[in-house]
Amino acid sequence: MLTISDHQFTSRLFTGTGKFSHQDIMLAAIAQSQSQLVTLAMKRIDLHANHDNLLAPLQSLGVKLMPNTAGARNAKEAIFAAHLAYEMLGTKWIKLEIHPDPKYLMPDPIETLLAAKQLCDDGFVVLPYVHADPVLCRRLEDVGCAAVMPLGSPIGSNQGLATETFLNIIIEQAQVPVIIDAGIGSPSQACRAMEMGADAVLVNTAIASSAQPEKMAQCFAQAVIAGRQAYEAGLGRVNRQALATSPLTGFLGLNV
Amino acid sequence: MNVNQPSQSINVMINGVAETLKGHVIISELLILKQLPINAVAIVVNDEVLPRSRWNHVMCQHDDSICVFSAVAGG
Repeated sequence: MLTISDHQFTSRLFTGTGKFSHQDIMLAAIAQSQSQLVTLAMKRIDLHANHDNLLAPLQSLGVKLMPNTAGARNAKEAIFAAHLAYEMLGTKWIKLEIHPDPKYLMPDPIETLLAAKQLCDDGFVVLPYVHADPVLCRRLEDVGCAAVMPLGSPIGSNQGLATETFLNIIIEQAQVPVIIDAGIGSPSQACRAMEMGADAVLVNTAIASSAQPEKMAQCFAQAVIAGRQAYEAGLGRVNRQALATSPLTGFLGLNV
Repeated sequence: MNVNQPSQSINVMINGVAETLKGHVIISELLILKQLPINAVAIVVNDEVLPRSRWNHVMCQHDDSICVFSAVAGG
């Protein structure tokens, strides 16, 4: 069971709702993923467009909604977005993301720390999206973040755990849950993250961009369970040389 | 923003689009007038988030900039 702030999750796979070709496909994929926490963005309403109801069907799935601050370029904008989200959805949970760089969407560590401190002081449950920086993650924990969400690789890139060395340090040091966010492109990578001891993973593009999102969502669900169970079981030691798994002497009574 | 209610037409910006309103209307009425969703939206008037508890008390004023936000799919 994973506990973040005062909320318990039996699934360690969190999902994003973006990039799906159709809302029905997104809903079906989230249902198959068994995810209990999904992320949302916020946008100014287009006055002349249809206003699709995204929330009601998500709420009918029983998932917890976590709005993000995507689009914020600095701490001030992110704090504003968090308060906007609270008014909109009535939740103090916020995925804090500040990435002013449009090409690589690298999160700004300084603005993120500033915003995190203010939002924690304002009573928000803050889950910051950050680079895989162990020092920053500790600072975010110190200001009261409920979890940290270091990236595996750039958002939407499906490049996997390019930051593995640093993720391991973060996992080793963290006193709050570590959720690997961004870049996880395949179930095996999600499984690997869980084997390393991550508390959860957040997956969006890899599911949404699959030819069969529902099936891929199932695969991720299985991979995350397998990875977690492997972590709990304890992985065997890695050795540099071979260690026989079968007896090599006494074959048929011959001393060869 | 105040609670005075003169009756002449006023010009406001709603989500960046110029609109003329026939007299001052309160924010909750504006949403209905413009056929905007009422649930799960947040309203910003002149760069300040307007709590839902005040939608029935705040009246649109000439030159107000009003933004209505909703949740959309995102990662």
